[in-house]
Amino acid sequence: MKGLVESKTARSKKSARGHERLNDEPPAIDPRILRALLEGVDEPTGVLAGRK
Amino acid sequence: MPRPHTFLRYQLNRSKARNFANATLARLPTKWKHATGGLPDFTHIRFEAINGAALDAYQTWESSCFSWEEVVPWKAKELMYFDLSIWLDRELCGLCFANPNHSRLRMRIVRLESKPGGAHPLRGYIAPLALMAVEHYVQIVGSKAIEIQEPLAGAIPAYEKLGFTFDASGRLAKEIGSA
Repeated sequence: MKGLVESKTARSKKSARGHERLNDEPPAIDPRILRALLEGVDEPTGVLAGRK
Repeated sequence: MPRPHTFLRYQLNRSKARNFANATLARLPTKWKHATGGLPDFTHIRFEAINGAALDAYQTWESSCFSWEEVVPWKAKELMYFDLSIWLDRELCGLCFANPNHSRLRMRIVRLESKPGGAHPLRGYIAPLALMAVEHYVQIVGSKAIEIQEPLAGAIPAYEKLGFTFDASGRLAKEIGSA
């Protein structure tokens, strides 16, 4: 029984929103980023950040 | 000098973050994944390290502003860095390097560049794709914020759309979990 409990703990943990997820599942991402992935953003080509 | 298993742990964290990024893309609504009409097909996007293949492909970029070969010694020197190359099929479309500050609470985007010169198929998506992968890495290593170092002025509206704001000290940053 103890082994089963430990196994479950090792495989899963609570996500930021409180529900259980497997360790190999990606955690929740900022919805603003997800929205931008769907719609795209107005970005130039070339350097976007960093010292030239 | 950190022990070898410490290097391995962070290597695994980087790999895990890239795998999470791939998985997050795979979860996007199907109608977007197989997009048509000029939108990229997300099923063909890959997140990789800045490895030999990425540096070879980078050599074909015209008029890149950075020497991305410099990342190689950085990777040998730093421990908690995050390096990322963004591909659409066999075309390298973006490169990103991030490193935490001394306290490790803030992950800094040191460099971010999309393929220069005209349009590439992931134009408009490099910043969201890179910051999605960095956010996964930040969640894994336990940092609390992401900062964009020296953002290009023309890209600031895009960063703001992704949740970044200028703090009191003039840094363009975002707390993780602030959405």
